[in-house]
Amino acid sequence: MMKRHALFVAAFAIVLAGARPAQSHSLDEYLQATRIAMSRDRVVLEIGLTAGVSVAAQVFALIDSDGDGQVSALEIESYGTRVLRDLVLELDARPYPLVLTRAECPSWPDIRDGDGEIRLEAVAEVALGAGHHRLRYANGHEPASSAYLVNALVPATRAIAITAQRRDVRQRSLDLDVDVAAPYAGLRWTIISFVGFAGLIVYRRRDRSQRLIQRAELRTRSRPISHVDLRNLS
Amino acid sequence: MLQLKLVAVLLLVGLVPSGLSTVQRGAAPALSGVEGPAAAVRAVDAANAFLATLDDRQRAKVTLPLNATTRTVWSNLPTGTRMQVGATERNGLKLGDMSRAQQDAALALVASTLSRGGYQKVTRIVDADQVLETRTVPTRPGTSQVRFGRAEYYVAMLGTPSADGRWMMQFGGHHLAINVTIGAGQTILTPTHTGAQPATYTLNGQTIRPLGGENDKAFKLMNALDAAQQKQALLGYDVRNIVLGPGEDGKVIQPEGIRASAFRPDQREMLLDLVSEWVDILNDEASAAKMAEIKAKLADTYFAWSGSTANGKGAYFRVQGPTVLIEYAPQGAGTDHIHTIYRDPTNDYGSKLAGR
Repeated sequence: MMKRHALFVAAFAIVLAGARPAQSHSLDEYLQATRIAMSRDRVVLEIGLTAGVSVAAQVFALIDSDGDGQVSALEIESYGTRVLRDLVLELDARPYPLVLTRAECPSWPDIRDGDGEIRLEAVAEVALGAGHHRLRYANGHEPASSAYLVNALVPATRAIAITAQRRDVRQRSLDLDVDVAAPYAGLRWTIISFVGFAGLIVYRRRDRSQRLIQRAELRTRSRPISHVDLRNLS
Repeated sequence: MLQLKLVAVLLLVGLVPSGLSTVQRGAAPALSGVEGPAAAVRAVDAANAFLATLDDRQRAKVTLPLNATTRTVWSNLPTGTRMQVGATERNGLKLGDMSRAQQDAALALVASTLSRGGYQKVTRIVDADQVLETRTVPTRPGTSQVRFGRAEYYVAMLGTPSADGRWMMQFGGHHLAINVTIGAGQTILTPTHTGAQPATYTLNGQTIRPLGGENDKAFKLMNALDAAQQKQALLGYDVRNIVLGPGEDGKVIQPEGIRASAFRPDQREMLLDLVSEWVDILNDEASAAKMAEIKAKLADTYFAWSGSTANGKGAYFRVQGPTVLIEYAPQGAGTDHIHTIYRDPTNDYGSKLAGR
């Protein structure tokens, strides 16, 4: 019974998809857009998945595993995990596991109309030490019907700098060259600068004091001896 | 004295240790030039005139508080779909729920914040959507909630309109999100989304291309680059949509392409002319100040391209500088469906006016 219901929903979906001659967005693509955010201890992937009208039913069938036309929290979580299995994240040629931290799915009507965006967020715990690194991301989810976007966000900290980016023509993969400064490098420079500044002030004060003493001594020495002698005599 | 100067330089070096460019840091440069209160006063007058035409229920719908949640409710998507930020309906009141007099007052408010050319661009985008509505109605499934067309464009005011305080005017629908923030004598247009489908249509015997200037100026610039410059500008991969569209506030992507510092003076002028297609949507005083700001940082601005260099074919391009991000992306294989975004990574929603 459940299977028949699922078939009905899928068939209904395909009929609706086919019946719509003009849509607001790309029709035959499953657009997978990934943004990569890096910090010293984690890499966060934000993934937005939008199915074009012609492939909406096919995508929805992947998510709605019980075929009831609704997406439960368990179903979208399960689909999110499935997507993550198709992703590769490597740091310096070492694969890092991704943990799903967020999974949101629009309703079937939104997906059917080609406008609903499935949103996933995944995190990999890394240790981005000082020096040069290479981060590789590759997306192998539903390659036959998908178009891809992948972009690195400018790191929130100045200590991490992306120095080069390389993608394949479909943007299924992105390789990033990353330079990481030593922790507190900026703070260290600031402290060194302040110490230098303070040292200079102390030096200049001492220098000034010495010059005042020298000037006073000079004045004493140049004072007329007769005057001193006279005062002493009186 | 020389020693003190040296130490001051050292201090600056200490505070800015790495060799990152201004774009990469997302630096917060000085505010756009203050363009004077005239534009703000005009907008306040128009806002109050519009409010005066509404009944209490409509006024309650149009006026909302200005905060970090309400200001993000805008989208490229049509009515009847869930927006990227999760909302199911735009802020404000739609034109279809207004009388003719109210519509006129609402559009007068929109016009008061924009330039003549900017307002014309907006109306052409709306007209394109009306064409789309007419084309799709006959075959639209009865179950579909999606609606296109002029009636589905919403006007909202976030905050209390005043020449001194900070408030926003939003006007948007499918392929349009005009977000104007007004405060401290300034008018800010970012983030703003424009788009068009169809990108070319005929109205009263005239061929209209709402985003024709954007398209043509970009191709003109790309074809003015020499082979080596084009090679630097080309991304070498397909880009099927804008990256920092609705729902992607506060993000800065790693810049790519060719830096305008490598451009000849005439190429820089072309780049500025291209950028003005977005900046000049805003009223003349404010756009002049914004253009001056972008020009001052032009050397740090990148131009990137993906696709054919033959005008008439689809191509994605991006302009990214310290205070500007523009993306233009045809959808699918053709050129009849365009998405664009215009942002200022340092001042979206006028965040520099009074903190975030």
